[in-house]
Amino acid sequence: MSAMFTHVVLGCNDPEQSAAFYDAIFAALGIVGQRHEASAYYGTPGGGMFMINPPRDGQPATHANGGTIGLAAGDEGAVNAWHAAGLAHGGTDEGAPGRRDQPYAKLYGAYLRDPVGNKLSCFTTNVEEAA
Amino acid sequence: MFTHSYLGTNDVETSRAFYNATMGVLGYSPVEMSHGTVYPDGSGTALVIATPVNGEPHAPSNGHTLGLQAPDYVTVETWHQAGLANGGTNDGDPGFRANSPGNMYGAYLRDPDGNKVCVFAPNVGPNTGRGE
Repeated sequence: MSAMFTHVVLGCNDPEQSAAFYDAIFAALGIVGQRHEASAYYGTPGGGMFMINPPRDGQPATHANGGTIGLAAGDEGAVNAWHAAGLAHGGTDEGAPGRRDQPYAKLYGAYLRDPVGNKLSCFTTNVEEAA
Repeated sequence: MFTHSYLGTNDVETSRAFYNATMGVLGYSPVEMSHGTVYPDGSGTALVIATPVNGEPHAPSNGHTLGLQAPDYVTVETWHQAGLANGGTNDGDPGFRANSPGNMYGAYLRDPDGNKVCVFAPNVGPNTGRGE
């Protein structure tokens, strides 16, 4: 089975503001964005794509309660950089970088809200054990 | 790129019926939790459908769509039918989508909680005898 997710779309109300936020947080993960009209795209077809658009129904974008998008980071430094980049570009803190171990995995992650209020997380499983 | 996607629900049993049917078509099996259901892909990615952690009612986003991958056109069609038969509502019939990379074959549903989900298969040529 290939990748589970083809793409994730989130709405935006101010495309420039949201694209600035996503440009910054994806840059921290080594992913460069592209713009097309009011949309911004990150990643590649086949490897998973993330995009932001004003909602197609013409109504304002709203965030869910209960929805979270989880992004993958290569290491703890990338998680820290992701969180800091988001806070510096219109995001709000929803959980500082830190260990969030689960019974099945040692995890390090952080949470942000984007400028619309959409909830995002960023996790790495490449956790260094304390000496 | 993605570790997981978490969608909210207000009714674990109803959403589980919908996702067991639709994710089952795509080959994923459920792992049941008290507050929801997880569908792992076996390589570190998972879809989670659960009640919101803050205890407030689930509310769908306007503007959010979650895209799932199907191997072929008939799986897209089977996924759409399974969703309609298990509490979902139609948000786009199976067909080629000119706005997708490579004019892929896809379909859209709303789950029982109003979350917008879609499935796409690679374009391998005309869908002779079915759909478009």
